[in-house]
Amino acid sequence: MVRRFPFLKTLRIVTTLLAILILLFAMTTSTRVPLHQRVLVQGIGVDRTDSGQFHVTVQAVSTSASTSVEVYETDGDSVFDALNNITLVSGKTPFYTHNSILILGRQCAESGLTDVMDFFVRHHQTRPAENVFLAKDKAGDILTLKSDPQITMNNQQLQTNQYVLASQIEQLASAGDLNSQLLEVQVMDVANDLYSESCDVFLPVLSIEEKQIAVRGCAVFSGDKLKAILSGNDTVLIKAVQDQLTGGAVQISLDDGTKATLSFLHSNCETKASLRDNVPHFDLTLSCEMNIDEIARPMAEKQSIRDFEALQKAADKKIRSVLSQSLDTLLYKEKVDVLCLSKTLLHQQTDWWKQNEKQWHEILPHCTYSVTVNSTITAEGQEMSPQTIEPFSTGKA
Amino acid sequence: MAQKDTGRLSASLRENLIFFRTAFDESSDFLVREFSLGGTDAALFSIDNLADKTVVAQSILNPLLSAPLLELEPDQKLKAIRSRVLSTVDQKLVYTREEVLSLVMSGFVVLALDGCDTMIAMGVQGFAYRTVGESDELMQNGSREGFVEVLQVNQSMIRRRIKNANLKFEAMTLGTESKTQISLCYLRDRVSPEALRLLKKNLSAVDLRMVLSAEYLLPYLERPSVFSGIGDTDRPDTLCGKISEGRIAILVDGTPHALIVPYLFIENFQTADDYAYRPFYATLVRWIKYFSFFLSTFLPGIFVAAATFTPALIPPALLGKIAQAEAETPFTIFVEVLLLNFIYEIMREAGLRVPKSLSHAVSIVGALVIGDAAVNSGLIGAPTLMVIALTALASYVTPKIYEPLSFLRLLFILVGGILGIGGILVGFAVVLVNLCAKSVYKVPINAPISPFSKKSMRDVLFRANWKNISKNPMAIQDLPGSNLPHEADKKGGTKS
Amino acid sequence: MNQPTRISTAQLVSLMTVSSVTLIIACNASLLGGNDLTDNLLSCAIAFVGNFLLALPVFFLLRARPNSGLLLDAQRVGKWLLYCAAIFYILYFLWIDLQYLSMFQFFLSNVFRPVTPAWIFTVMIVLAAVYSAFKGLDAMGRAAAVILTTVLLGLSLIAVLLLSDVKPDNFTPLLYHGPTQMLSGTAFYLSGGSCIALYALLFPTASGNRNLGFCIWNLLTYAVAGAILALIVGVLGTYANLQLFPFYSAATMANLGTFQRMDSVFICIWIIGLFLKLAIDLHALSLCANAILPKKVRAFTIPLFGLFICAGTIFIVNNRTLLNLFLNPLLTAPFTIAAAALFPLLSLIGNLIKDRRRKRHG
Repeated sequence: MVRRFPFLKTLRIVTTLLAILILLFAMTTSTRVPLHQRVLVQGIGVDRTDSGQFHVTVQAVSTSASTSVEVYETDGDSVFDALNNITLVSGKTPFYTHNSILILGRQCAESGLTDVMDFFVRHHQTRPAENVFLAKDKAGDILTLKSDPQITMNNQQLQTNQYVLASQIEQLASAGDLNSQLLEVQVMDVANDLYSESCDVFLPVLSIEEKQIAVRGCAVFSGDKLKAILSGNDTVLIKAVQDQLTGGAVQISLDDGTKATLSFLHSNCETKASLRDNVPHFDLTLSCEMNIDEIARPMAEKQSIRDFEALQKAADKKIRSVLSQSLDTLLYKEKVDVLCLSKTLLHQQTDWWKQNEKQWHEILPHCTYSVTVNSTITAEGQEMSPQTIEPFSTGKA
Repeated sequence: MAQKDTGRLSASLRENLIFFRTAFDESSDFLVREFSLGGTDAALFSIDNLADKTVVAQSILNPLLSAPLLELEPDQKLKAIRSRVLSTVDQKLVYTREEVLSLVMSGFVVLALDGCDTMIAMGVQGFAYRTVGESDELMQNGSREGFVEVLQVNQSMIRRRIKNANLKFEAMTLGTESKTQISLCYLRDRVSPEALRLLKKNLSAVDLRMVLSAEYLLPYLERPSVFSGIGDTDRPDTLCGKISEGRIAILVDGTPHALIVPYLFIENFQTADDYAYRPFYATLVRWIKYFSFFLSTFLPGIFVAAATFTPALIPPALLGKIAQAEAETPFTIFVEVLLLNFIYEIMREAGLRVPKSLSHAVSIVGALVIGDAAVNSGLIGAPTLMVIALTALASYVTPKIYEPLSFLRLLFILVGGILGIGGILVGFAVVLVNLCAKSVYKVPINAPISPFSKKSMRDVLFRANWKNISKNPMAIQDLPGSNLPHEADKKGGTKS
Repeated sequence: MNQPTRISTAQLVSLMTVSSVTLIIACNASLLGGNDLTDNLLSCAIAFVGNFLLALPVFFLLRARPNSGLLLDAQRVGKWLLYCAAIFYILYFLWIDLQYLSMFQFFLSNVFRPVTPAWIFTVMIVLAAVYSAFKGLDAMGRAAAVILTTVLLGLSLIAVLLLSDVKPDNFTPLLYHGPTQMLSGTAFYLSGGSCIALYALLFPTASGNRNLGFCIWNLLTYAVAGAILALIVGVLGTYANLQLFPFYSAATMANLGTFQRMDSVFICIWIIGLFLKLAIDLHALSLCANAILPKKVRAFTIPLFGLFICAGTIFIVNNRTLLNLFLNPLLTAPFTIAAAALFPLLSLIGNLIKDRRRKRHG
């Protein structure tokens, strides 16, 4: 048994007293803020004013039973300054950990993202997983939009004059697997693209149409400045390259004039980079599984199993055309690398990339590409047309 | 005033009578029956209502008075009475006054003969006691019997279950004035001699005047700490299970439960029902208990820390509701949780102490006042009430460690409310080290979790079936980390 | 004189693993030497092998004199070596603890920003570590097993939740900008490896297959290091280069249903790991101090060291120059190499010479 010195007992008492003192000291020195005295930010919109100041619109959880959210609008010389000025109008401390969306106004994007994004990368409360959008006009308009009782959003009948919630807008990003025109871009993605000198930023665009908020296309940036707003079809290309092509619809026409609508179940895109006369050439091979959602043909006419081939061929052609058009727009017209083809070169043509990475944006418009699409129809719904099983088929139509 | 002289008995009956009458100061329950046996004066000493009068009459007085006793020397007469006259089973010779006093007050009847400095004590106890009833440790299956206050009855309940000659009851007397009987119960071929020696050493250091309950002994058996290494049970079947693992039981006369030495921390989560259920369900219940332990200890503290310092921990859907509730009440969440915790403890104490006839009123008042009126009036928030209610429910799953749990819960609420999540984590670390540092009779109470024993996980991580559990049973001294010598060591072998 | 066996090898390995993981989770691009974090996967592999090489003198010492430990062996060579070794290890462990705690307080001040002043956390953790050091090696060993399980479970949870966010494109080709970062990263991993020094001091107290235990520690440490690095790079990409504590940032992205932001798991791992690291280092410090100080003052060593570490940390964090000094792995690496290899080697050689002399003289 260890002999106990009396000193140890004294030390124990002293330590306990010290711990209690520290607890009491901590109680007095720590600036605890009750929850209801914080602005629990759920959505942030950043606009640029004509005078060059930042105008922020913040949607926060309301602690009042009568409303679900509170909206604050403030100005400042920087994003942090503007957000900090919320304390002047609310008397509460902003709290950003539950912020789920960041909407950048058009003017803000045109003047450059670097001024805006640093706060969201640096601040200890912000998350890299916050969804980022570009507003077609002003970000503040989107966060202050009040719903019309006739209009529903996400199938919910909203109360009169209730703000469209940030969480509902966030759904537009999270629902990316429902539509190939819905993009999910996070703060981290934007920071990565801004930080990398070769990849360019892209953002989904939100616009207000008849008192509804919708995603309409995507915005592409050159450096940190807005270059162009592209159509929804261009979003398909971006999603295809990211292997996230699910849920989107493709309208095709067969030779006999039959129209069909197919949707993506799953996709996989392989990009191969090679050099032709020291100029990069990209081979994009998209393999996708598709579902037949509609065929505009009388039901009595049962198609044969060979109609699958025709549909697949038509889908390949249509998708290839869409992707090619988008590639032309991105590479040759806008000259932006939102597909991060530079990374493909980095991995597959490392030596070439080492020598040419600084001139990438000059080389980009000279790159060539080829697109191959291999679609497979793996599902056709409940109706058996075209016929999946033809046990007595002689192979003739 | 009782005489201090408790030395050898006198040969003179008169002197003995004077001594004992003076010792009891003519107490009304001290009975003396004087009579003559073949010309020799004799007397019976007993305490009223401790001895069975019918048995005394039938087995002692009648045979004595009707026996033909020849003229013999008093010593020989006493011998003859003992061997041929008395028909009681439990007889012993007593030589000292102290023994006589102790035995008489334990329900023995003592026969004294004039001219003889030895007396015969006969065990004819017939005092009233509570009959064997239902145990307080409620179980769905298995025996319902629980210990009672009488030591001998408890011993008999154990003996009935372990019909093994190696089962030994070692009697001791503690309390300089109460002279309480205690009994150490163990299996001779299973117990660690070192643990037994240490236990006896600790018990011999008990210098109390009165030992009215087993709990009086606890400070002598182990160093004080939050978690105890001494268990207790009022179920004979549970106790027998513990004894078969090499532990020592301490039975105290007047206490309807037994102490178990040593007692591991993990045993707080094991109940007799676990071994009656089927293994898959028993395992599920076991994990529910582990989860409930953490829930009841940490949930209020984490809730306070999260709401006050780290709201990032709270899911967005809940955050608004908690903020709203906090806005509508006058107190901060820290104060609310502390307040509700105290109110709950008050209700619990009230529920324990209140007479049965009033218990319904207490529950109604508690439910209405706390559950309804306080929330509706905006004094406390519903989320806080939910947290405390869940905590309270979870604490009932492991009633054996309710006391340390309750203390730790309060500690973590304070630490969480003052220092946040970091404080709770450091507090957890300190408690963990404190638990890991504790050994009781050279067995670490955190075994077999740490030090880890793979074999023991069949009754810790999950509850294996009886075929597996009973294979190669481990005695307590075989647990890893135990410093109790192994049998093999004593024979010069290597430690397993 | 043999030191009594008090903990098992598994417990010693748990102590060492928790200590090393506490450093690994705090890595960032600056400490690892640049922005090509993928190259640091090679650093892990090299450091894994490097640890074995560094530990060779300790292995041989263990084989030659399995029950005495570094200090006793040094004493056997000569008092001068004992004093040198003891003072060196005291300074070394103090340096390491100041480094670990400064990094933690730096994290608190910049990233976590608690409402309670950060120095109070430091005081709390040191107080708890002092308490644990007083409780003894047995208690710490047993607690380490539980803490290691908690740490590994926490790390596994974060890893599983982040696995689906890993993008292979984020990994840059190995050695794209040459081997510089690989070497800097190796220095970082080796510099924080005070566990070899700990092992040298504590191996006589451990029972079981100690060499196997060391191997398991090394494997576990670098498996965790590699996994963390892979997650950081795979999930965050170049974003990781912008972050002070990229693993923390990655953890904020982990979601479990409605529970978002698993960074609290990260903080939990760090605080608990740091507490245990400090506790075991205080024990090691007291071993070294008690070997050279008189009996009367031995009871004061643990609290005094604790006070020094606490005060030192608070001072360092408020001085940018000192902070850079303490967090520089290139400065710590030679210190660690000396602690891990030099003194055990001197001890080994000294003892071998002494044994040979004894044999010659009969």
